[in-house]
Amino acid sequence: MLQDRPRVVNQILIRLDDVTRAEALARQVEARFGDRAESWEEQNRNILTVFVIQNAIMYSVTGAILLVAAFGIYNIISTVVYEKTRDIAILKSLGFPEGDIQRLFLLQGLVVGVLGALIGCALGALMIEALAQIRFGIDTPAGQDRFILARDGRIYLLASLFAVTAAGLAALIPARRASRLDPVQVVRGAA
Amino acid sequence: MTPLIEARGVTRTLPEGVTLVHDIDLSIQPGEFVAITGPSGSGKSSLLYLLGLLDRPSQGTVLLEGRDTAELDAAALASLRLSRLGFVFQFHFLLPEFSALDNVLIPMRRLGRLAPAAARAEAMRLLAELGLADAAQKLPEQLSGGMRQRVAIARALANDPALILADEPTGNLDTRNAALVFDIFGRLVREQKRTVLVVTHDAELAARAGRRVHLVDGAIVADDRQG
Repeated sequence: MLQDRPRVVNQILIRLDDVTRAEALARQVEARFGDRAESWEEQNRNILTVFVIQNAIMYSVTGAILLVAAFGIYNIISTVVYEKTRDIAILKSLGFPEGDIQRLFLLQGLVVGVLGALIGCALGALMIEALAQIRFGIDTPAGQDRFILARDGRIYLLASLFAVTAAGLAALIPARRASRLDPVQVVRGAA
Repeated sequence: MTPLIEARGVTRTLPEGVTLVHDIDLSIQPGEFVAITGPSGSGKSSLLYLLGLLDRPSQGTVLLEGRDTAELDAAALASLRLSRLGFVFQFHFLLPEFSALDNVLIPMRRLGRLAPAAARAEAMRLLAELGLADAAQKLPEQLSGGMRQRVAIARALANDPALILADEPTGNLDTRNAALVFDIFGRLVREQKRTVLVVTHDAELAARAGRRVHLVDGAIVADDRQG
């Protein structure tokens, strides 16, 4: 606002190529001319807060989904270990060391994680493209009548890394349990 | 002559206090065919597991080729089992997803003593020697009980072990196949100078072994050599 007087220029709007510089520029204008300057972020603080909350909810839901997926992998590997008890015992009696058995099931967990990440990335990309086809059929101030979608490869990479790490950690416990199986107990039980 | 395997004052007591075998002194020379006999619960299998380095004595020690195994960690014991011992159990314990040939190749691949092509040729030779050349590509479920047990014997021989340990290998076989398995063990001892230790409760089959060690209540009560 420039002195709050009518019939004079009392507001100047500045359009920037780089919207992220608005806050810094507003502070520079205030420091240089002494007039109040507001960035678009400051003007829309309430709306932006909603976005922050929306992001927090999104990350919480994503985290919960990954946690559930990790438990799923844990259950799969645990079941496989249970079903393969006799095979594990025979491999150990043949002379396979504990490290081999542990690596075997850890690898299986990681393979499940990698396959899941690949399928998830492919499905995610397909869904993004499907969402991109949706038109709202209304005029918006930004001239955008469709979803603003992120196609950043880093999101896929980060999610894949998280999924594979979660799979590895979930497989670790049953893998360690498998490697510590006492073959004598199993062989005796089978006899 | 250094015994191939020797138990010195071996006792095995479970954490709950049950004693499986006690104060066992037994030494087996290379080229011997030994049958361990005794009633159910006499500790035959427990003794075999101890001599096969699958279990550790609570007291006493087991020496393999003069080497005290008491000081060895789990990885070193596994390595000895892989390279020096071959096991045959009452159940064939073949991996169901693998063919007969692949089952024989499993310990060979882990040891890595032979190149892949040589290992495959050796596995085929072992199967052929046991009359299973035509069954090499079959899955265990496609084989009869006797054939599965012969594949298990081929797998036990895969890494050219110093000692073959068999725990009731004929327990699930009919009379004809049981006799065949003992014939194979006898041939391995006579023709290939291998050492075989078999646990059996069948006195007739045990009579085919050159030496019979009889256990009662976890202790050796008789040790007879033929001839």
